[in-house]
Amino acid sequence: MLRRGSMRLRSVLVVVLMLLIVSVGQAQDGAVNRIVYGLSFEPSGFDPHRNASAELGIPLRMVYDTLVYRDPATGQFVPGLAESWEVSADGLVYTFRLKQGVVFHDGTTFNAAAVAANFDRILSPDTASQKAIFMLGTYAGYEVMDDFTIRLLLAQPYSPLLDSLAQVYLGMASRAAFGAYSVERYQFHQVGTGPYEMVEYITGDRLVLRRSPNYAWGPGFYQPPAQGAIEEIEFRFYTDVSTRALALEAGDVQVIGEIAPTDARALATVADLQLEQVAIPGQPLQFLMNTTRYPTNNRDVRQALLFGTNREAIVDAVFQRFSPVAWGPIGASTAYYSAQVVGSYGFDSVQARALLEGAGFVDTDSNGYYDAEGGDLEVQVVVPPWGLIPQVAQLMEDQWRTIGVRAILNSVPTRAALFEAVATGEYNLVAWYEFGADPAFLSNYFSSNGAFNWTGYANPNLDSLLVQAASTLDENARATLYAQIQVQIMQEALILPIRDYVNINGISNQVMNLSFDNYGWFPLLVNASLVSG
Amino acid sequence: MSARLLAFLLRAIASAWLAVTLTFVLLRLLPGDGLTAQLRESGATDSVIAERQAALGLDAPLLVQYGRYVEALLRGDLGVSLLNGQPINSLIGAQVGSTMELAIASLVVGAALGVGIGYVGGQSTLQRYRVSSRAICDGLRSVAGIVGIVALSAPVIWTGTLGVWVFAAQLDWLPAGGAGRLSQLILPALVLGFATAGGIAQVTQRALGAIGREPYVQTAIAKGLSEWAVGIRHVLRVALPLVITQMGIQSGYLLSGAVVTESMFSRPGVGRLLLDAVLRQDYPLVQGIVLWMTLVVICVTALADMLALLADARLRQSTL
Repeated sequence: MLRRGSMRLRSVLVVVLMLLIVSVGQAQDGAVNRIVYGLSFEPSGFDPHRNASAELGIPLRMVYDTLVYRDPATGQFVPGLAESWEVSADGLVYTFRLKQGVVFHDGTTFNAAAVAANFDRILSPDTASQKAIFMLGTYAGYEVMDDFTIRLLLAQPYSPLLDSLAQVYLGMASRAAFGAYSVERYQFHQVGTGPYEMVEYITGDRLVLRRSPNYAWGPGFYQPPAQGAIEEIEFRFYTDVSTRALALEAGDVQVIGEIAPTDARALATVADLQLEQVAIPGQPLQFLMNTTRYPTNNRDVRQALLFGTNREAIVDAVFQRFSPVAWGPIGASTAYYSAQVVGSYGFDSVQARALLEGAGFVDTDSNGYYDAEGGDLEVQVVVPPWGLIPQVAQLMEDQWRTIGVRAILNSVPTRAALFEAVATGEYNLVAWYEFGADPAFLSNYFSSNGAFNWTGYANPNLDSLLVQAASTLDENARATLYAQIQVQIMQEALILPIRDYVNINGISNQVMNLSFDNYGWFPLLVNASLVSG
Repeated sequence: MSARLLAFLLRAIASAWLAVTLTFVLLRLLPGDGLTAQLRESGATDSVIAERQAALGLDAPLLVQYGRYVEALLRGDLGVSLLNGQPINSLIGAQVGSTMELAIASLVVGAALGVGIGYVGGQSTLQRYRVSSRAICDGLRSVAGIVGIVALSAPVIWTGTLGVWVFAAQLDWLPAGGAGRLSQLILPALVLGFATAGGIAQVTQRALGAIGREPYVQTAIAKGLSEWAVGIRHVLRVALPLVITQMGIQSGYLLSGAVVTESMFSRPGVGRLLLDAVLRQDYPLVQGIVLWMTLVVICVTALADMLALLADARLRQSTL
């Protein structure tokens, strides 16, 4: 009886072992030139016309072409699906001449009617676009001139339009495909003209792309390798930051982004991996200072907080030196960045104390904090949980203690809660950053009527600079205007910048020539190749 | 029996209602929702935001929203996700298989480990009669005790990271994550199963301790039956109903453990869907998943009760 039982147990074990061997075997003989790419999370949806996440663009940048591109080397706009374009002198009419011979992955032809159908889809209330529609600014409609010419009409000049058209959210999709599926289902059956075709998207599990055999109309900087091109890419979701680096080490993924700085420090010594640190253009991590509330309504106090913050120490401790210190309202990789602000308000606690004492603050009760209305000199800081901001805020709290200022950290759990906290007006500083290659977003933050004017600053001169910068088409004029804007924001000490955002990617040495586009998040997988190893 | 069934159904409905209502209220104590926050960030004007909210019925007073929600629920409609517009029924449906796979595998691991640990740790009474091997047994018992406590108290996030580091990154025996192949199920099932084993081990051990002191066990030992025969036929068999009931209770723990385990091992599943939905403040989706989980726990607990009944002749006689 007992013996028979153990025989049975043994045969079960043998079967299990065989299954294991078979399944491990399967794992090894996958398709040739295939990689697994780890995403940091699964976006709520993958439709670039509807959904807003930057994560969706990591795979889909390769599925869709855009009318124009930004050259990663120069930052200049270069032809994409539009072989040329003209902007009318008043900045209201953009005429695009489209490339001919471009075919969607489903075999349908790309032409002006296809572009028109994409704009119709993005603007349709049914699409309920969460981002693309808002990137069109003052867009007022289109005119199809002929099969391969289309005009976009604006109600008012809007200089960021080309920047928007260069992004995957305004990628050109096949109208046959989005016509065939409901607006919710199209994300599973996406069809573009890009170098990779979408094979499948299984929610929660994976999104798979396969190289398109006929692709021949990419922008100049798409340089597919002569051999070893990646044929198939499986994107998987690694929500848990602690296992991201481990998945790379274990060989489960060949590329993975957003590795924690501490893990990156450890990975730097692993032989068959490389770390690719990509600066993301847009706002650095910064604390916007409320100029309408005591005590940050006093510029001396704001400047004292800037001088009293040791950003080098923060970048050392929290970001393990993987991020550069930020000095102004836009990161160094953003268009029209001005180096004039570099070094302003370098750490100087003596200067910080001098400013506060100059402003009349004294510490009569010798408790280490300056006195203020009804107690000690305090600032309320709104602290969201993402981007290691809580750790940064804690260091700031310690640093400001030495300049006699007490920081009260108010944690908010979500974006919605942060908006709510800001709406009350009961804060002195609020941590924030947004991404973008064109600094037109500055208008939202620093115009007196900006939707995100959380500093409460209102200055007609700054307002007019921002309006001009967002409507002028001349590159040099914009550069000059944005330089003035950056300097003025820092002179007024409206923000406390901490660090430029850097995405730390871990890449297996088998993957060669993987670089990222101008917006930082999106890999140019078309140029990469795979060597066997 | 029909009165029992009725009582069970009433209890199930009350639990489900409580879960739905609590989730509904608690979520709305947090300010704002994910969609509004996203639209604001994308630069939508207040009027556009108001339009979108109205389209989803978010502009109605809370009580009205609650009424509409419950009414739709009664029709089996969980609503649509705020952020991607897909029906929640199908969003959850797509993930159920994967979570079930993980939960069942973990339960098997947990039951085997838990009963094993509990058995070794709990046979003090039996060993009293086997002086020769007492030292070894004492040693084994201490080890089982320590392992049981670790299983009970170590968080999945820690054992999981450790497991991936050892078996995937260092030894390269198993994949660090993913789904679809058996080899990808082993590590997550071990991690979640280990966490489940703690509770099962405790119950097993206590039951063995109590049963081992019963006179009939001593009679069996005195009769000269082997330790295995006594342990399995006379002691474990009697403890089985208690262990099965405990496994039913652990199902809730398994589902909450799946939230962490699925995220950590890059597995699809309801747990990860829940985590994403919470982080995005996609309220209808959170509500739908919590309701689903509640129903699963209710059903599994009931199933465990029934199995315990089948496994225990005494219970069967007293209740049928």
